[in-house]
Amino acid sequence: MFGALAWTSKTLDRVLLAIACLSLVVMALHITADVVARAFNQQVVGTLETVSYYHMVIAVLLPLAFVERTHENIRVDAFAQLLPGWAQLGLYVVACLIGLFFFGALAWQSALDAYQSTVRQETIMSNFLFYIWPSRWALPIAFGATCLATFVNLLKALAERRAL
Amino acid sequence: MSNFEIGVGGIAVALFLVAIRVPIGIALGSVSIVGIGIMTSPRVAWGMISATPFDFVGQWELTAAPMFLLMGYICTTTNLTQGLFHAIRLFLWRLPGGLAVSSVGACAFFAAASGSSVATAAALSRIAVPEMLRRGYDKGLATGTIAASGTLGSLIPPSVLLVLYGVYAQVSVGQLFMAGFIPGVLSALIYAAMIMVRVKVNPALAGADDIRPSWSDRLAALRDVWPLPVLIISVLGGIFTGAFSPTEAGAVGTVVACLIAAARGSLTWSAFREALTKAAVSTTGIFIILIGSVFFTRFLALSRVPAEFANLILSVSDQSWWILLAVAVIYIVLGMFIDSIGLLLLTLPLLLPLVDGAGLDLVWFGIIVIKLLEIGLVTPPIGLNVYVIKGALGGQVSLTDVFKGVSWFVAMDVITLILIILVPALALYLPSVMMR
Repeated sequence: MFGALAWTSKTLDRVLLAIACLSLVVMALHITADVVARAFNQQVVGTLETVSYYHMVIAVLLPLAFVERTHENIRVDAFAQLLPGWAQLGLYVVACLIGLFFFGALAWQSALDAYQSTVRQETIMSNFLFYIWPSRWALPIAFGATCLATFVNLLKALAERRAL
Repeated sequence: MSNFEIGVGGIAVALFLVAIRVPIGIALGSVSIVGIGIMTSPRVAWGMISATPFDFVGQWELTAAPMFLLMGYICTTTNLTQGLFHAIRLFLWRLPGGLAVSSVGACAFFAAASGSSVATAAALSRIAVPEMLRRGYDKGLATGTIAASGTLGSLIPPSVLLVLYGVYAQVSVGQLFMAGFIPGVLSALIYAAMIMVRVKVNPALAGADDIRPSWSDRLAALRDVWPLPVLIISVLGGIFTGAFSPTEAGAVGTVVACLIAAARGSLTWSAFREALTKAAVSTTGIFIILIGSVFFTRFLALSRVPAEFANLILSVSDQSWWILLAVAVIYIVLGMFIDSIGLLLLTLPLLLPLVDGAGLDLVWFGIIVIKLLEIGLVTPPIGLNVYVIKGALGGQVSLTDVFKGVSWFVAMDVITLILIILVPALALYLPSVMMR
């Protein structure tokens, strides 16, 4: 059971990371294309909107589960390292529970927002019709996957009886 | 409990959570959600969660952060920096402590192609430090030089820290980039001068460099280092001439770096994939703190703690030296334990109202803050750059060696900082020229 959960979480966060990396590449090309076009008095229509609402949101948020699983989050180790192993495990469990609360709250609310945004086909003010509702789904997917990664880390730490 | 008391309690709980290893962004965010829920109503807290992450992340100006990170990682994974240190050394070998001075120069150059201090220190530690140790340089001097010079990465543009500060403080990132240039170069010159004086006084600190390069050797070496100057000129030149904005520069720089690497045949799939993964992971690590920090700003604003804090500091004196002293104490103490990006985003919600209230120039203040954060990167017990170098060299040096070596550079940083404070034009001259 745990193995299947861990595999699902790992596969999911790697797929999300790959999509985010792709988004970084597209972002670099998109912005550069606009700069080059401007040099010839042309423009790539909708660069600002697409980059801000799609490439950025995807590139920034989708790797979150991978970051959580691999402990790449920025945290302060100085004090905790001085404590004995059992205390470190206790603090790690607390940190995971707080993480579950935080990402759980974000996942829940952003899912509601994404649903409402989809129902009303949300757009933004622009020179043209620009839908942003699809990109809103990046948030619940990212935060949900992060909850799963945190939960797997928590189970793993308890099984191994050590802080990860 | 009054809102103010909840605010103070919230800061204490957030610091406690950070100390017990809760990731900084999660600590700030969860305290803010609970705090706002208690101060107002759970509905307001849900409303903040609803509005903030999507709107904040989807900001055009912030695109510069992932793009500059990607550009820097592409430079390192495709070895665009290779040869830089060697080439500079061929020109500076005659100077006392020539290898160490060359390392400072190489770091300053690399800083102009990378947005991060840690990346700069990491890139040079594997190349320059072993060479210095082989030549009999003092361990402290060899490692301290790279740890400290790495910090130029955040001051010399482009700089991810300056992008984050600019977006947060609503100051032009272009002006901040211009403002960081002279203080960055000045820091490098002061480091180099200190190395030369120390080696002159005590020649045992530096080993002899036995190369005797001819001009043809030098020109041959320059042929190897063209990628970095080309990249720097295309990025900074584009910004300064107005061909593209600082926000767009990261993307253009990434594409140019890829083209250069492809031309040299070093853009392999594995190097490209490594750069992308590192950039994505670092970006997300930073942005989760940003989101937590935006929550924390809202929470603190509701509690009126920043306003009261500003009143408290200003009631003693509204002289800028006093405010900067208070800020410096906060950064130096917290900087011992918290890494620079985390610390910047943790403290700005509290400090910006104070600085704004005192009427200090936010561009100038930004450069001072970055310099203070950089000092935190090399001071014990955390000093991230020191650990980066220790990590790269393994058992060859001890942490004490590095920290001892770096202390000389910290003293120079204090001098640079005092100069920037006494002569604001060092930071503000270039932005004022740009404004014209």
